Amino acid sequence: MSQHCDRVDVVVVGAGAAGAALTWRLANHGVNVVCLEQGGWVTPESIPSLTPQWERARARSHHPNPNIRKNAWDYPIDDADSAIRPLMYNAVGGSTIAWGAHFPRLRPCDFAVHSLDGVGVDWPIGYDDLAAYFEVNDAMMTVAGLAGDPGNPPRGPRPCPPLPLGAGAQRIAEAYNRLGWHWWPVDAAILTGTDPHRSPCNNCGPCDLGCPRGARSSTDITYWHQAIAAGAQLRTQSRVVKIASVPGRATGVDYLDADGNLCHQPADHVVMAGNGVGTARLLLLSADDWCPDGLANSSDQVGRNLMHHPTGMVTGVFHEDLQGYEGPFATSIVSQEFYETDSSRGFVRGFQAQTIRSDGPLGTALGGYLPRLPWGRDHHTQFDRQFGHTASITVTTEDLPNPDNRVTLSPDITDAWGVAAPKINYRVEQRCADTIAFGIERNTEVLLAAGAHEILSLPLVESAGFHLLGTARMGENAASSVVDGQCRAHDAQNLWIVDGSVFPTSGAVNPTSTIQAIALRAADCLAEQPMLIGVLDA
Amino acid sequence: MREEHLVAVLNAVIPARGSIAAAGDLGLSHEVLHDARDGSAIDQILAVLHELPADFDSLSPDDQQPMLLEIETRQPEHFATLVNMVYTAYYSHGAVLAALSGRTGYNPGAPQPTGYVMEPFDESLLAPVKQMPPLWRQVN
Ligand SMILES: Cc1cc2nc3c(=O)[nH]c(=O)nc-3n(C[C@H](O)[C@H](O)[C@H](O)COP(=O)(O)OP(=O)(O)OC[C@H]3O[C@@H](n4cnc5c(N)ncnc54)[C@H](O)[C@@H]3O)c2cc1C
Ligand code: SF4
Repeated sequence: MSQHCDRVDVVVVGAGAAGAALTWRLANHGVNVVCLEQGGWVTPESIPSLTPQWERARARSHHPNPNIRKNAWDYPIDDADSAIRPLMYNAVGGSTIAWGAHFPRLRPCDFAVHSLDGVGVDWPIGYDDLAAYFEVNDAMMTVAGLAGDPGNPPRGPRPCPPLPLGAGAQRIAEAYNRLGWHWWPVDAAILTGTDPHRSPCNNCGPCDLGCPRGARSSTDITYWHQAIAAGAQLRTQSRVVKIASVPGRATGVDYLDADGNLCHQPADHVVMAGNGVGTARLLLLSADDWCPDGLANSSDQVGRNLMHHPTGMVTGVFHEDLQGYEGPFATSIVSQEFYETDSSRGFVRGFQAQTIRSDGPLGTALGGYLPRLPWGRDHHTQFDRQFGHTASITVTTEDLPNPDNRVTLSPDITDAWGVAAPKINYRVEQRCADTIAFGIERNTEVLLAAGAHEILSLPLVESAGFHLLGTARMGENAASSVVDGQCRAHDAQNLWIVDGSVFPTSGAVNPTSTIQAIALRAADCLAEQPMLIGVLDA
Repeated sequence: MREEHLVAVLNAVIPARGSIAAAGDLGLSHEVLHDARDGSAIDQILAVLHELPADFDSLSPDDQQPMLLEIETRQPEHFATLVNMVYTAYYSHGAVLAALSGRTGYNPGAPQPTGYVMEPFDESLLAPVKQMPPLWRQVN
């Protein structure tokens, strides 16, 4: 017998990047909204960069892969058949707890890849539909950067000044200038100005472990406090196990509370914000008599078209000590010189080149973004060559939808409550591999021009499943998509999906700025809907 | 069971350097075993150790290294697990980090609360980029 909660206007599943933004917006519209999050709050005192053992924590208890981290809030992922390991964090703030805070926006061409380049599908919305929401979100996420980038549509003054480049990115920027190629300081969701409740960045480095100063924006410290102040409820350690439904409608959600009690939360609208893996998993788990293949899945698209941004990495080794471990690891400069299609390259679409600083001693030895250091006699020599002496550039490619790259329910693995884990089948398509090969050549040119004396490259970073996209895609046609352009499920008009799973294609940039803009826009659409308290009880 | 060989294997994986002993002689084998037992890596490590001859410890480093390379070729995943665990223990060791600090000036303590200096961004570097025409495609 489940415990019954009072009906609310809206229940949101997942308190990450998207769930936080949407809930804040709804609460400010006066909507009675509750968010259920399977994780809890991460306290600043628990952040490992306050201890000398911070790199060890990254390799174990704070690893971005839940299968390694095995936190009680996590669920396992069956990734044996995936070429890329999916990464995420399950807590208030979601994966922004572990993210690098690089904050580019998709470009206008990314919304129309089929019309422009004959591949993938077009989005039912365009850049202009999101432009105003990008600006709202940039203010909430306290973005550091500089307006005026010729590589992107104009945007308002950035809320905070740009981050320091560091010696490595400085050399790379000068090399881009010599080659006549585009680069720009990144937009980063990192506070570099002043804020009454947070301290500005002090360049410490491991943003992915969390920021004890509160400089790196994660939605627990940006959106959530304001959402709660505006009247939103957030219930932590509440794991949703099913979206309850009747034909054509969601009626609420069933969830396990912190003590394992089964509870039912009725709501007029249900919003999924569990990320591209968690949302697909829950929709599939929510199969019922009227939807035997999963909720909102009459198109058979739920779970399909998983996209990640397959990434290659090129590293330059420099004679000079660049002290590359200083500064926010993932954020300095970016080049979009090769972003747009140029058919003379032999493939369509392009790549983003994001400069990455170097790692601490353990990260240098273990590799991951570059090959692991050799063990044995050469170990110390190689360590000395690389530690602090490297700067890397990504080849971040655009993944396109492939129905066989998908999330299903694992037949073998369950979470601690016996609920089926998600299973990932994913392979990298040849176009991405070709783009990476091209990008490795271009990035090598830059790094040599920057003065590197040795180049190391990885054609695929296996543990780069940071971006979980496409598994409940938006589209105008209910037969080939899951939600419409407002993020409303075709099969259930009061079910909304607002996370990265709605991306029809992925662009070649980090997605979170666009995910949040979509969530804010969906909140405005949702707030205009009638709330039908009492009418919809099944 | 050849757990007793672990010290010698660790010494071969990360040899001594200056005043810092090799990984096994630093006493890291207990930590590696403890970490492995904590997770699911113990079987992988034991599988590597089982391949070693009984006299492995008494061989010279020149003989040990090719032997381990051969095992790495036969059991790449298991061997990688072992190496990762040795690296993790070694580069978390206070003496190793202190020696690194002495050589390079690296701060061996916690990144916070000290952090590093924030140099201001030099916008003049962008002068040539600011002259570029828009690089993004207009879409209707
Ligand atoms: C290491 C790392 C680095 C990254 N770096 C960047 C970067 O630099 N730039 C960038 O743009 N992106 C980056 N990302 C990706 C970014 O974090 C995600 O794109 C973003 O957080 C996705 O937002 P979301 O709301 O869709 O999902 P998430 O933020 O993952 O939030 C989903 C939430 O839903 C909860 N949930 C799921 N299922 C349930 C359930 N059944 N019941 C209750 N709760 C549930 C989860 O616990 C989680 O908290 C990075 C990610 C990682 C892991
Ligand atoms: S580099 Fe800056 S933003 Fe990142 S964790 Fe350190 S202080 Fe925080």
